[in-house]
Amino acid sequence: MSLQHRARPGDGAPPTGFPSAAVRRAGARPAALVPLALGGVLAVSVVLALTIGPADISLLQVARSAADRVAGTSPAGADAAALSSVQQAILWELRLPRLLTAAFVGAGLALSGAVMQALTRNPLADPYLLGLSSGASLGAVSVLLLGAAVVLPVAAFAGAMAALVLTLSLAAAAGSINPSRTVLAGLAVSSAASALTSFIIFFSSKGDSYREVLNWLLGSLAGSTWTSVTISAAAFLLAGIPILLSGGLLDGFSFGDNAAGALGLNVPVLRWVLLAGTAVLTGAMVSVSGSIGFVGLILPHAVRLLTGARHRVLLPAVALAGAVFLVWADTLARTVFEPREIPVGIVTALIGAPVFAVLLWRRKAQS
Amino acid sequence: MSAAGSIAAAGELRAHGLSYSAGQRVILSGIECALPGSAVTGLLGPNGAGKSSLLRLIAAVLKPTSGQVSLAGTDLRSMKRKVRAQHLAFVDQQVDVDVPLSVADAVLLGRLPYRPAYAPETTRDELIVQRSLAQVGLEGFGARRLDSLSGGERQRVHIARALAQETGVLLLDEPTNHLDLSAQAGVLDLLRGLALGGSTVVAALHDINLTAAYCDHVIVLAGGRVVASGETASTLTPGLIRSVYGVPAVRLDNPLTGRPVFAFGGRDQR
Amino acid sequence: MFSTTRYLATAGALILLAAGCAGPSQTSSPVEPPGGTAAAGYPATIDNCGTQVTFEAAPERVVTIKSTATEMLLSLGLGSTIVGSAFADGPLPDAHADARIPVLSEQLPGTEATLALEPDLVYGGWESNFSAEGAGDRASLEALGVRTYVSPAACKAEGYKPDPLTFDSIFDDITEMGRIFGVEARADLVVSQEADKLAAITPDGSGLSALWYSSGEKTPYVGAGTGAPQLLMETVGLRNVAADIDDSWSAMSWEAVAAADPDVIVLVDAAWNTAQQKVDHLTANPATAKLRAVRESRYLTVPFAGGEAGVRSVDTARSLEDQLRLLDPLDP
Ligand SMILES: Nc1ncnc2c1ncn2[C@@H]1O[C@H](COP(=O)(O)OP(=O)(O)OP(=O)(O)O)[C@@H](O)[C@H]1O
Ligand SMILES: [Mg+2]
Repeated sequence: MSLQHRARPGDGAPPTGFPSAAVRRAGARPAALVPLALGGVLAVSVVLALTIGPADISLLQVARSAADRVAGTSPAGADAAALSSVQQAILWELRLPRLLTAAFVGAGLALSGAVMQALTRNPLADPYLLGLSSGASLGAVSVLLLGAAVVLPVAAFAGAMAALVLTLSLAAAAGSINPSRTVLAGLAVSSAASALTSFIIFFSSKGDSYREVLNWLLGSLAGSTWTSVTISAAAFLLAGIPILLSGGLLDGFSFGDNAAGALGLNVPVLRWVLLAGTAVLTGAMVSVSGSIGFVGLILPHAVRLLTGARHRVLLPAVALAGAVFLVWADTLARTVFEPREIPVGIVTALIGAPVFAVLLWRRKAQS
Repeated sequence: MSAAGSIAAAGELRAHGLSYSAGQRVILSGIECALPGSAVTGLLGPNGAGKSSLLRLIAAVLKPTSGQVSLAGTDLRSMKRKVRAQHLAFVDQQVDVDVPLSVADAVLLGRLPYRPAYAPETTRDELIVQRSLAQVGLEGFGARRLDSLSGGERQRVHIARALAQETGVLLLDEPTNHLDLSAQAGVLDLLRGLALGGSTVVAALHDINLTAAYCDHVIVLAGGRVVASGETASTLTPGLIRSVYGVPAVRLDNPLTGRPVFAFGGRDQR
Repeated sequence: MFSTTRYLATAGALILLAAGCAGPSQTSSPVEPPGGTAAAGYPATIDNCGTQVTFEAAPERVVTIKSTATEMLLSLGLGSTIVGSAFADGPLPDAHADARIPVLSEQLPGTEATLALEPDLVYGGWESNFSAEGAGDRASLEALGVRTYVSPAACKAEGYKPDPLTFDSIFDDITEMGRIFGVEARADLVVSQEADKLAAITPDGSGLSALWYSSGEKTPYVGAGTGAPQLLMETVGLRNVAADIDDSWSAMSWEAVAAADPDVIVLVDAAWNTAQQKVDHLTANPATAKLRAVRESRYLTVPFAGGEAGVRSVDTARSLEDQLRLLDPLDP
C-alpha cells in the first residue's frame, strides 16, 4: 500500500497555510523580517533613550550637538539650543556610552542564552544555569575586593571559562554529557561560585565598600564609559558575530547529539567552540555590567514566539531584541526614581520573572 | 524514486571486527557483518543486545573501540563528516521533540550536509523538503509545529529528514515505533521502495513478523555478538527465535501475502 | 581605680556646693560611689529606635561598635567602661589620641565574640550592627540580660529616623547617653561646649552648591536631604545638590550630579576608599572631569567617621568651614 492516501493534514483541521514552493523561497518567510524590524526598533530606541534622563535635553538639542560633533564645529554660544559643556558631557560621555553598553550587553546575554538553550536542549538554560555568570562574578569580585593584579574583564572571563570547564567536566565525570547532568553540574558550580563570592564580600568588606560590590552583583550599567562600550562591542564582534552566523549549525542540534553527528556536524568540537564563545560573551558582559539576570532566559523564549525555533533567524532576532530590552530596562532604571537610580538587574528581574511565568504557562497550555 | 539520479551510489556496508565498550562494559565485540545494497536489512535482537549501538557505530556517531565500517570498500571514518552525511542518513531510536520547530524546518535539517556552514537554504532544498514530506505522506504538514504532531507523525517527519539527506544508505533505529498497523506497513513499503531504487536500508526492528514480511536480510544480535545473519527466509527460523528470545515459535505461511509469519508460544519456564 | 567619671562627678558636686552656701568642712565629705547620686534616675527606660530599653544601673561593661559609639563614650569620660570596641571607621580624633581602648575586631563582630566579653551594654552606631550574623539581634541580647543601644541618628523606623537631623537632636543624644550612664553633668558640659563652638561658625554667604561624595564609582553614594551630611553642609552655608532626596544617604546617578554641576565636592576619606581615589576617579571619567568643582579642584575632605552624626559633628562642621575659607573663589 502507499502512504499517500494516509495523509491526514492537520488531523481534521485544515492545513495551516503551507506556502507554495514559489513563496517559500529562502529569506522570503515572514519570520525573516523580524530581525529587520527589530533592527529598526533598536535604532529608534537608542535615539529616543538618548533624550531621556534627569538632565533636560531635547531631541533637537541632541541633533544639533551630534551635527556639531560630526562637523567638528564648536556650538555657537548665542544659540539657545546649544548645549553647555557639562550637558555635552552628559550626552556623549554618560548617556551614549551607557546606552551602547546596554545594547551590546543585552545582545550578548540574550544570544548566550539562546545558544545554551540549544546546546543543552534545555529551555531553562542561560548563562546562569551553567554557572558562567557566577564564575564571572567570582572572578570580578576577587579583583575588586582582593585587589588581584588582573584587569576586570580578563578576571571575569577567566571565571566564566573556569566555571564552564568545571561544569562540563563534572557532567562528564558522571557519565556522558547529557542535558540534565549538565544542568545539575551547572547548579553545583554556580552555588559554589556564589558562596565563594559571598565569602569574599563578607570577609573583606569594610565600612560602606560593600555597596559598590552589591550594586555590581545585582547588575548595573551605571558608570558605563566608552571603555565599557569597547569591551562589550569587541566581545560581541569577536564571539557574538561568529555565533550569530552559526545558526544553521545550531539547528542541527535540535534532535540530539547523534542526529547532529549524522548530519555531518563535529558535535564535541562545535559544542566546545560555541560554549567557549558564550563564555567569552558572558565574561565580557559581566565584567562591564555585573550579573544582569533574566535577559538570557526570557528573550530567547519570547523571540521564538515571533520567529519559530530556527536559529538562523532566531539568533539575530534574539540579539537585537536583547539589545532593545536592555536599553529600555536601563532607561527605566536610571529615570523612574530620578535623581536616584536602581541597578538595572532589579528591573530585568521585575519584568523577567512574570514574563517567564507567562511563557511557562503558555507552554503548558500548548502541550 | 524521483531523486535516484542524485542519490550517492549505494553499496555494501561492511563491519570488520567491530567492538565497542562503554567504560569497562563490553557492549559489542567482534562484529562481522555485511549489509548489502539494494536491500532492506532487518536488525533483530532482544532488548540490550546492542542493536542501537551497532547502528550508531555504523553511522559513525560513536567511535568503535576497534574495527571499522566500510561503504563500498571505503572506511567510513576516513571520510569527511559532510561527505559521510551525504552517503549515510540515520534516524535515532528515541528523539525528544520538545523543540518548537515547524515540520518543514525539521526536514530541512537533512539538507545541512549540502551547504557551507553559513549559507542559507536554496529553492532546491525547499523542493526536496516538500518531496520528502510527500514521500512519507505528510504533504500539507510543513507549517505545523513538530510538538503538535502525534507520535507516528513525528516518526515520519524524522524519516522525511533522512530522505532529504538524499543518501544511498539509510539507517533507522526502530522506525515503526509509535506507528499503528497501517503506518508500520506504510513505512516499510517506503523502505522497500528505496531499496528497489538502489539504497542500502538497515532497520532495527522488534517485530519479527514485520521483519519476515519486509526484510531481504536479517542480522540477529544477542549479548553484543552476531548470532545469525543472512537471507531472511533461511536465517529466521523457529529454532533461532527460541534460542535468542527463549520463546517457542512456529512458522506459518501468511495466506494474504504468501510470506512467512510466526506464531509464538509462552515464554520458556526455566 | 580612680576614673575620670568619678573625678568629674566629684568636681561637679564640688562646683555646685561651692556655688551654694556650704562651709569648707563639707568639701571633705566622702564622695558617693558612681551611680550613687544618679541612682535616683534608675531604673531609666529609654525608647531607642522604637525598642524600649530599661537600665537598672549605669552600664559598666560596654561593647562599642563603630566610631560614633566609641567617641561618644570617650567624650563623656566613660572610656574605662569600654571592654571592647569594634568596626572602627578610622582613627580616633586627636582629642582622644592617647585613649587605650581594647579592640574586639576590625570588622563587625559575631554574637558569640561579643558575648564573650560579658558586656552589660552593646552600643552600636548602625541598626544593622544588631543582626544575627553581627553582634546579635536586639531581642536575643536583651533576653540574655545585655542592653542594646543604637545611635538615634541612625534609626531607620518612621517616627525615629532623622527628619531631618538637627544639632538639637545630636545634643539630645549626648544628654540621653549622660542619663544612661548617670553622668548628666558631664553630658551637659559637653553639650554646652559643642553648642558654643557651633554658634561660632559663620556660614559661607556666597550660595555655593555642593555634593557630599561618600563612595561608589559606578553609582555615587551621596549625602542626601535628611542626615548628617545635609546638616553639616547647611551649617557651613553649602546648598546640598541632593537635598531633595528624602534619606540620610542615597545613590544618585552621575547624570543628576552632572546636571546639578556642584560648586564644591565634599570627599569622604576612608582607608578603603580614600579621598585621593575619589579625585582620581572624578578626573579620569570624561563626564565628571567636566564638572566645575573637578576642573577647579574645589574639594573639601571629611574623614569617614566625621560623616556620621555624633559628638564629633560640630568639629566636622568647623573643619568644613575652615577648608571652605581656604578655597579659591570661583572662576568667573
Ligand atoms: N554509555 C553506555 N554505558 C553503559 N552501558 C551502555 C551504554 N550504552 C549502551 N549501554 C548498554 O549496552 C547494551 C546495548 O544497548 P543498545 O541500546 O545498543 O541495545 P538495543 O539492542 O538497542 O536495545 P533496545 O532493544 O532496548 O533498544 C545495553 O545493555 C545498554 O545498557
Ligand atoms: Mg535500541
